[in-house]
Amino acid sequence: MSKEINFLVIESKKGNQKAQIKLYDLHCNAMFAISCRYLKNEEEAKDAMQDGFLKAFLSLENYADGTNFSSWLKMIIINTCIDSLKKKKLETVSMEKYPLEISNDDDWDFDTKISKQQIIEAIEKLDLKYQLVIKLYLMEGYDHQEIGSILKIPIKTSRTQLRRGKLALRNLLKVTKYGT
Amino acid sequence: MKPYIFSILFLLSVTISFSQSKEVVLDTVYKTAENTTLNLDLTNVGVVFEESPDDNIYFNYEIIFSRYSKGRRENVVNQSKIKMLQEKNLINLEMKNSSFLGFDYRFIFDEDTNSISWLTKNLKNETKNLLIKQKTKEQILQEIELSQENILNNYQKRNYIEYLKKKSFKLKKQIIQKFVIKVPKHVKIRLKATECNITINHKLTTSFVMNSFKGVFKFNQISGLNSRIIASKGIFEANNLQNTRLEFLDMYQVKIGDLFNTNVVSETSKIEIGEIGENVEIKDFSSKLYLYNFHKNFTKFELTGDYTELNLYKVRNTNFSMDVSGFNTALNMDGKKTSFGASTEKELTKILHKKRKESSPFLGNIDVILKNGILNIK
Amino acid sequence: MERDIRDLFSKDDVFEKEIPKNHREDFIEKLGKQQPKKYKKRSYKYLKIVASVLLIISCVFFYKNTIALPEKSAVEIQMQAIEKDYLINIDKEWSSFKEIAKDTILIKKYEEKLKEYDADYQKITKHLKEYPNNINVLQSLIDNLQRRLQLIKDIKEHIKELNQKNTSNETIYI
Repeated sequence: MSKEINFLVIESKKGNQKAQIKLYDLHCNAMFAISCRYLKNEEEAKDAMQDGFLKAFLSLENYADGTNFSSWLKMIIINTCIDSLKKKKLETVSMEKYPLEISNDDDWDFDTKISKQQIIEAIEKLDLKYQLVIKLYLMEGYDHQEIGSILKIPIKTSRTQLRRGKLALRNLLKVTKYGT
Repeated sequence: MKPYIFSILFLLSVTISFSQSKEVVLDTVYKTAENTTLNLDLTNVGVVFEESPDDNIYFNYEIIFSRYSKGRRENVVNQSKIKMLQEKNLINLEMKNSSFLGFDYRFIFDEDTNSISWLTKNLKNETKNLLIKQKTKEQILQEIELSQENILNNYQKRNYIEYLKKKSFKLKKQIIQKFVIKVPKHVKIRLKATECNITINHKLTTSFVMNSFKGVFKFNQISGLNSRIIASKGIFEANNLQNTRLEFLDMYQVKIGDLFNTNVVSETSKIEIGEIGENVEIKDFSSKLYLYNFHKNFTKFELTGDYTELNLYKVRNTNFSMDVSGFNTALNMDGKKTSFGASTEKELTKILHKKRKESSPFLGNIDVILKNGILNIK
Repeated sequence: MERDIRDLFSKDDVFEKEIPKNHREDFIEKLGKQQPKKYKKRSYKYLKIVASVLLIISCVFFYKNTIALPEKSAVEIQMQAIEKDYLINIDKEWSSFKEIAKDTILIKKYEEKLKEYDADYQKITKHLKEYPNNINVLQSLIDNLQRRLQLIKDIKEHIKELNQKNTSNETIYI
C-alpha cells in the first residue's frame, strides 16, 4: 500500500492531476469522518476537507518522503477545519492571562460504566475551546506542541485548556451518571 | 578504573568548592562617645539593628553563597559600594547595593520562567476595599510581629545556622545576606534609606530621624525626644511610638501598635493604629485611617482631614466625647448613610456630637474636622 | 472501577460517514481551477543551491554588521502582557474618575501623583534593561502598576460615596 502511495505522492508533486485524484479517493472517507468531528455541518465538513486536500497538494514539497502520508494530510485537514471555525468568528481559544501551577495531567481515569459514546456526546456539549483541545488530544492523539501549532496558542495555554476541559468533562459525566 | 576515580574525585571537588562559602563584605567596630551620631545613607540594603553589648558600634555584613563560582561571588560582593568614615562624633556609613542583591534578606536565584510565577500569583490577590473589623492593640502587635515582609528576616535570625545546614539550601543556587548593625543605646541614629528593608529590634531612646523612599521598615519602640520620621511609598510598622513627628506620604501600609505625644501629617496612606494615647494630632489628606482603640485618659485627640476616610470603632460604648464637623462628608453609622454639607458650601456643619457619660470614667475628647471625607462609625 | 479513557480513543477507528453526493466531481472541479502545475522540465536544483548559499553568506554578513535583535524571553513576554493589561485598566479608571470628580484641586493633585508614578516606572524600566530577569526589579515594576491602579480605584470609590446624596442638616447626637 505504502509503495503505491509513495508513487502517487511523487506524481502529485509533479502536478499530475490523476495521481492527486487517486490520492483523494483513497483518503477522502477517513478525512471526511475526521472533519465531521470539528464541523457539524456536513457540507462545511466536505468543503473544509477538500480545501485541505488542495492545500496539501500545493505544499507537497513540505512532505518528507517516507513519513506517514495520512498523518501529514490529517494535520493539514484539521488545520483547515479549525481555520474554517475561526472564520465563523467563533472564539476558539483565548489567551490565558496568568500562568497556573502544575497539577496532575496524567489522570484520565473515568468510570468503566461510562461508555465511549457517552464521553463523545459529553465532549460535544463542552465549550468550544475545550472541545477542540480535548478532541485534538484525545481523538487525534496530538501532544501539546502539536496542539499549540494547530490552534496557534502557547503550549502552556494548551495544557491549561486541556486540564479545564477534562474537569468540565468530568463534571458533565458526573451529572449524567446521577441524572441518567 | 583509574581514570574514573580521577574524574569522580574531580567532580566531587568541584561540587564541594561550588557548594557553600561565606564572603565577608564588612566587619568593623567603632568606639563611641557620649554624643556620637550614627549617620546612615543606604540604598537597596537589608539590615537588622540590635543593641550593642558595649559602647561600640559593630558592623557585620556577610553574604553566604551556595553554588556560586568564585568569579561570580567576587562579582556580587564588589557590587556593593561602601564608604565608611569616622569624624569626631560622627560615624558615617554610605552603602549602595545593586538591585541584583536587592534588599531582600534572602535572595533566591532562579533562572527559569518559574521565577515570575510567584510574582504573578500574587497579582490575583489584589487588595480589595474590605470593611476592616476592629482590632485590639495586641492584634496589631501580633500582625507586626508576623508581617510577611519581615518573616524571612525573623526566620533567618532565629534559624540561621539550622537553615544553613539544611540540604535544600545547599542544593539551590542561593545567596543569603546577613547584615547586622549593633548600636549602643546612647547613640543617635540618622537614617536615609532608599528601597531598604530595615528592622530595628531594640528600643530607640535617643532622638531618631529617618527619611525614606520605598522600602519596608519595622520598629520596636521609638521614644527619643524630637524623633522624626518622613517616609514615602513604603511599608512602616512600629510597636510603639512617642515623642515623634510622623510624615507619611503615599505609604502603602502603616501599622502602629500604640501612639502618644505624636504629631502625624499624612497623605494618601493607609494607616492603622492599635491604640491612641494622649496628645496625638493628625492632619491628613486622602488617607484611609483606622483608629481602633483609645487609651484610657487619652485626654485629647485632634484630627483634620480632607478627602479622608476615617474609621472609628465602638464609639457608642466607649466613654469619650466627640465632636465632628465638616462639609461634603458622608457618615456611615448603624447601617445608615447620611451626607452633610453640600459641596458648594465651604462652611463647617456640625455633623456629630457625642456626650460623655457621667457614670463611667472619662477618657477624653475627640475633635474631628472632615472635609470631603467619609466617616465610618462601627 | 476506572480506566484511562485515552486508551479508548487510541485506536483510530473512525465512524465512516457518508460524504455528500457528487463530492468527487466537486473536488475534480476545484482541482481544475487551481493553476495546473506544469511538469517540471528542468530541475532548478543547482540554481537553488547557489542561491541559498549566497543568501546564507549575505545573512551572516548582515548579522555581523548589525546588532541582532535579541529574542524575547518568556519572562519578557509575560511582563509585557501584564504591563499592557494594567496600563489599559489604569487609563480606564482614570477617565471614569475624571468624569465623576468635580474638585479641580483634587484632580490636579492626583494627576501629579500619577506623573510621579510614571516617572518612577520609566526609571524602573530602564533599570530592567540592565538587569533583565531580576526579581527585585520586576517586583518594583509590578508594585508600581498595582499601586497606581489601586490609587485611582480608591479615590474613585471615595468620590462615588460622597456623590450619593442623602443630605441632612441635622446634627446627630449620641
